[in-house]
Amino acid sequence: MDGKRQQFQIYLPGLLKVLAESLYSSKKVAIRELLQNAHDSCIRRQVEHPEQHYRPRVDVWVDSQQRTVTVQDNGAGLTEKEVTEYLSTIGRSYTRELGEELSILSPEEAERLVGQFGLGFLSSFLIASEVTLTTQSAKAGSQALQWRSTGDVHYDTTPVEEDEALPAGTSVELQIKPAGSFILNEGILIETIQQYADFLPIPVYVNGGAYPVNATTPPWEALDPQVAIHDYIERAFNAAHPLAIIELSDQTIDLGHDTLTVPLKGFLFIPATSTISIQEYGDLNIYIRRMFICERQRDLLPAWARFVRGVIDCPQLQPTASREEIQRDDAFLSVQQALEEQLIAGLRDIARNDPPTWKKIVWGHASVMMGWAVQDNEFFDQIADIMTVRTSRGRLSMTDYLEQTGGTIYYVTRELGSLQEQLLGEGIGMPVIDASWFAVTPFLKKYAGYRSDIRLVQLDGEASQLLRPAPEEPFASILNYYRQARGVPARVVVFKPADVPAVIVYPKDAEFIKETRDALDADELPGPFGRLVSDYMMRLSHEEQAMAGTFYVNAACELIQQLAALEDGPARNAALDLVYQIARLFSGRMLDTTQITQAFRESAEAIKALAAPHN
Amino acid sequence: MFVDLWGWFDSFYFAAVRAGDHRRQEMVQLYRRAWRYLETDPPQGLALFEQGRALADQLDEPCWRLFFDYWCCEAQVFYLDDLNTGLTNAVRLVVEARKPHYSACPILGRVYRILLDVYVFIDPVGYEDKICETLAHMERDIPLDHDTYCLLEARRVALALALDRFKEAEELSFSYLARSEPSTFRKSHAYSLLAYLNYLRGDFALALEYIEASEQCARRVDIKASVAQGLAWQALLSRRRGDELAAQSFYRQATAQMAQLGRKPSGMYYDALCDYHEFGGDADHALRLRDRQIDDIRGTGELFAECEYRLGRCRLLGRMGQPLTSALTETREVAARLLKPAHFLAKVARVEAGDYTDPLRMW
Repeated sequence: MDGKRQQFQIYLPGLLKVLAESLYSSKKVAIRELLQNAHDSCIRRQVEHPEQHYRPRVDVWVDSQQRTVTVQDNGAGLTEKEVTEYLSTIGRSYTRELGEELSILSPEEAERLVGQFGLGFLSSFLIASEVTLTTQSAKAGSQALQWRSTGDVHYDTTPVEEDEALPAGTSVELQIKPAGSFILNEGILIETIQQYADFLPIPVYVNGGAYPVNATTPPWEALDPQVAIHDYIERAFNAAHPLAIIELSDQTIDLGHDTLTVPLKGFLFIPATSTISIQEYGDLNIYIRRMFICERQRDLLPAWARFVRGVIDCPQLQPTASREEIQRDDAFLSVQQALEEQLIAGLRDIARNDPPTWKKIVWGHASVMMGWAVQDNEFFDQIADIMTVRTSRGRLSMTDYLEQTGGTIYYVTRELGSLQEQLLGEGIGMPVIDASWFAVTPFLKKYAGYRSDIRLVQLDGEASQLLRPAPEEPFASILNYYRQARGVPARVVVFKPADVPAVIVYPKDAEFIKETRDALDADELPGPFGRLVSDYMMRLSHEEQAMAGTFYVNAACELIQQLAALEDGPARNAALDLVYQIARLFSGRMLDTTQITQAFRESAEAIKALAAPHN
Repeated sequence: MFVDLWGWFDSFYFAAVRAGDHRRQEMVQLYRRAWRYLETDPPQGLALFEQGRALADQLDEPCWRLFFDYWCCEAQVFYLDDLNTGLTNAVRLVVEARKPHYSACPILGRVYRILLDVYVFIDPVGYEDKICETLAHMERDIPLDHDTYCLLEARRVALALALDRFKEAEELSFSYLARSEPSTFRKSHAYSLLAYLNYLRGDFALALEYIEASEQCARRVDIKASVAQGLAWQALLSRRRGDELAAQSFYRQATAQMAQLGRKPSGMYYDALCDYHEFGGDADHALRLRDRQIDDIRGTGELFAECEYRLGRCRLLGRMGQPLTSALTETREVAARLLKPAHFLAKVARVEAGDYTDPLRMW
């Protein structure tokens, strides 16, 4: 059988219904499309009929009694031929064709045109039962024309007979149907205009107002961009006092085989946030040639940048047919790359040149930033060295921290405060990192894992690493007292600060072992698990005495030296008891409430003994 | 008694979404992200679980803290092959889980199971009594999620294999397969065990059928290590059946697949490839792989498997006609750390007496 080439049949009423009712997710886009057509018409007039004193403008009128909304421009208007060829031919766009022509001869003019699909006008029927368009072309000798449609496959055109020739331009009157009634509210109408057309350069007036309702200039092009951007962030994002703003500019990106310049305008900002929040952002408001496309777009910024928000205008991005989203094409990827590069450069710049602000950013978004650094290797590479950590000397960048410690990371996983690990760390001149905060330990482990020259020392339970052995002989008398009279495993070491007479260091697993023993003794583990755990405990190699903590006496401490020089006696022993009890309480671990009470009681006894008269 | 672990997980997430609670959503997402990393970058997966745990702590969600602690332990035991840390953490988990505020946590069954797992991997023969007692207790007294219920049977298979009770291992593998019916992931494992047992019996055709089924299941749930293992076994079985072209093709696929993973190959993967090379006439290559297998497991705490791999190496050396003395000494030294080494030392003695045939192949 011979093959036959056939043509699709189009069922126009169905297609119209789909385009008008299903393409868009919001009925408000009808206003956006009309504003954009009006804008493009004005640009066309500037391009096709340049006049020195031409002042483009768009007027929007709303009449809630008559249920009409009219969008009127003083642009190029349409001839009868253009009405037939463009307005009434679905999928054909005058603007796109003009743009294609201009893209060769005058790319800058082409850039100013927004429309392209030739579908937008149909969206009027989302809110209107009837659309009447009256147009007068700027071309000499053109006849004014009226075009009317109720949204079915037919439309009517009639010449407009007026005594005086109409000024060039187009007026579109929408007879609002019940489903579109919301737009008859002037406040909502203005809000809609501001949402979509705030940055369009042509002023839009509502009901003959003296001032345009749109800003006409994006904040980054304002006379004072910093002030305008701050105002805009407060208004559009409801986010006052951002921590930092990174203004965007054209970015050359490396494609490997070539480079490409991505035209980019707008800004990114870092909102202030509470330190306990893990609020996710990482979203952008997208404009294409100053026309709003969508808000809270989450895919353009890198996944790690969840502490960043912003606004971008990029003509390279391609809107989808509904122009409520952007296409995921090569341009999208290029813009993604360009944004990531500018963001990283911006963050680096802040970290380097504005440490107070960087500190605030890290403080405000530490959990998100560190968390993502752990999850995202690329972000980790970018951020690891400039990330700041909370240390016993305040916030330090990792680079500064490692410079001070000579390449070793000392950290504790419990909240810093009066911890002896912090004290001992400082004693050897090393700041200690507080890793109690969410994600810090995984971050430090990853950091150390990436660099073989970095040593990671967790000081919880390992603080004895910071102590230096010392000869026991000069302190034999006090060691004897502790070991024999008090049954305390005591050793002599040297550590700083020399003012601290003694510390108690428990093995890392001491608390766990104690808890496990208690659980086994109380028979709290179900059935055979108790036996498995018991087996584990039996095989665990630990010195029984060490579990009670090792008492380290500081040979460098003047008080200890004086006590060691004293004869055995009640006052000396009371002082030694007091030193021991202070160290016990200071260690902050392994004591239950009974033991703490006992420690205080024994301290009080020692003080009493010291206060008592001695011979 | 069954619990719906993933139903609990989903309900929590949807409740967080409905409440607009970003932090709890983030906590759930951390699990999902971590899980995706486990096969390709286990340290990264572990780091994310630790992060999830820290977040659960901050949010004062004790069940989620236990949930993430369990997954940290799972990552250490199954993906980082660190039984030493795994054992300590499994004991910690069990001690922690006794507290009353965890009594309704659906992860409890897994918490108890992972301690059992660790003992099965360390020394199944030495702990045989305790393992059997624990298995019975868990099925009787502890609410289990379905996956744990399946795995208990898998542990019985492992125990039977360790004790050279092959008939019992086969019956238990069928039972494991039946339990695993709703879980493609578990079915993949059950089929691989059946393939292994049939290979040992010498029924290569049936072994091939089982391993194909295992690989297909693994592909469906995208468990790359199991896919690689399935391919390695198909390479071996194709070679044993004389289909050299297919054997080489499977071999290439298996090694390429394994190279993509960030974890060490399983013992079964090594076993397949060692035999593949030996039966292909390249015993030197087989020996190099045995050495790597032993290097991989040395110091991980997987004592029983290390003994088996060392014994496998001794037998290979014997078949190659190479001196055995030092290899046998090393094997005995490692075996001495087993709780009840007699069972294993008897096998060492047979090798020393010149019997280099893998006794597993004679059942």
